[in-house]
Amino acid sequence: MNCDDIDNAIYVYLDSEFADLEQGDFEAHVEACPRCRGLIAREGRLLQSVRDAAPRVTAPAGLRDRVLAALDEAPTPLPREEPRKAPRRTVPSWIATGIGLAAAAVLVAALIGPGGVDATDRVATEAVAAHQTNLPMEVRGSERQIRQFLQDNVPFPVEVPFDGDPRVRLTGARLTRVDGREAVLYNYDVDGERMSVIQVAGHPEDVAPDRAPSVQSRQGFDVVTYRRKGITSSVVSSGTHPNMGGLIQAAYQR
Amino acid sequence: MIFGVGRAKRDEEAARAAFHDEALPHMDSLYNAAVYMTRDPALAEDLVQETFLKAFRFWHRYEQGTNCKAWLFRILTNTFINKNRRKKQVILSMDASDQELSSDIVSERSHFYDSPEKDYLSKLFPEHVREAIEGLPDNFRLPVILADLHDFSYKEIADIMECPVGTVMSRLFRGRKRLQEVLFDYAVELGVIPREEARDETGAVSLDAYRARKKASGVN
Repeated sequence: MNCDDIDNAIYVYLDSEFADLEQGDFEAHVEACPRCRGLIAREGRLLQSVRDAAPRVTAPAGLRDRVLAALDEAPTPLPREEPRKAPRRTVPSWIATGIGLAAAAVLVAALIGPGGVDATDRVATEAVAAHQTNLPMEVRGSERQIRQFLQDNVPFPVEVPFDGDPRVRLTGARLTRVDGREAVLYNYDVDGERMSVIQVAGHPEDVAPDRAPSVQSRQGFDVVTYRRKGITSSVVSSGTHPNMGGLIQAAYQR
Repeated sequence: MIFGVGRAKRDEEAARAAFHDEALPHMDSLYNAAVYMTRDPALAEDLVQETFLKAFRFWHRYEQGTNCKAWLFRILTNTFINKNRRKKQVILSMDASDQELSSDIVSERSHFYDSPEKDYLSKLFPEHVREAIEGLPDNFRLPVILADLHDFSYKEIADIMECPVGTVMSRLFRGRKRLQEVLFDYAVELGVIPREEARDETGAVSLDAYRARKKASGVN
């Protein structure tokens, strides 16, 4: 390491974040270099004085009471996730069985042909199950109210599908789960027919590449699935809409 | 059926008790960070309350025995960023400003690194340090709050801010450098550092000295 390296790495050193090998290189240079020794001493003192001087505040008593009161009103949290287990199904068993068969069919297809079972297949399967059971929505009302609910309750990025598209009307939303991950189920009205969309965010550290809309057949429904910005969306509709393809292309390309 | 209801009730009570024991004790830390993030005690209270409600809602996602404080800070930070995003366009599109700023670093550093006046900064008042931290742009303020006020490691900050460790390092570096500059200016304004010793337009002189010394000292 030279003096420039020391300049760049000084905080890594002061924060004790070096890997052993690099730490050795760093110290070897510093031992031989008075300039860098002085620098480290000054930077260390400065860092410490900022840390010491920065005022710390504690939560006001009223906040604790408010939070406790709000928690009392809050709905019971979801049951703890069992890692690596199938997601809890909230659908009737006859549908669940159907899903099992569908999933098996996909698995067979994956063994035979290219494509493979991946997260998008499961999202499509869940979208059909949710659409068929017509799960009650947690929020209904104007698009603005629904957006506010999502803003307040969804801890991962979602992208309301068909944003502002006049051909569809957002009528409700609820939180759900796909494969143990939080997801959002949206209900839309398209010319009087119900349309469901499930959205699942990818893991932040593992953003899958975008994937153009593709159609799969599930339980007699055509399910269109696409992935954008790491978010997988599956769209199922009760009706057959001649402009469905255009709608989804618009949602994917916007 | 009755058994099922009883069990659900027990589960709920257990979840609530665990939340009280593990999550709520971090309220002071969360509030402190929230004040530095929002720069407004009332907004900070709202942010903390929202954080706890979300955390409770997603309590099943928290793996018991792991770092609860870091998990709560992640929710806090996310919530803060999301709220702000509506006001200020995309504060996380950081890469552009990262690039922009990298050219500043050398000059920022050169008049700063070798100046012994920096030690005067230790005489600064807490209020100035608070103002200086709060004055940092979001992208630099967040890592400084997390590292210097709450002692999170780089890895933890990367998890909380959902960005690579390298990004944490560079944001922290720039955030601290910027903080030093602001504090230095305060010190000059307050007369803690005599004005004639302070860098100004003639800063080029000390820069030359630095370069000359650097040249003389060779590569090492």
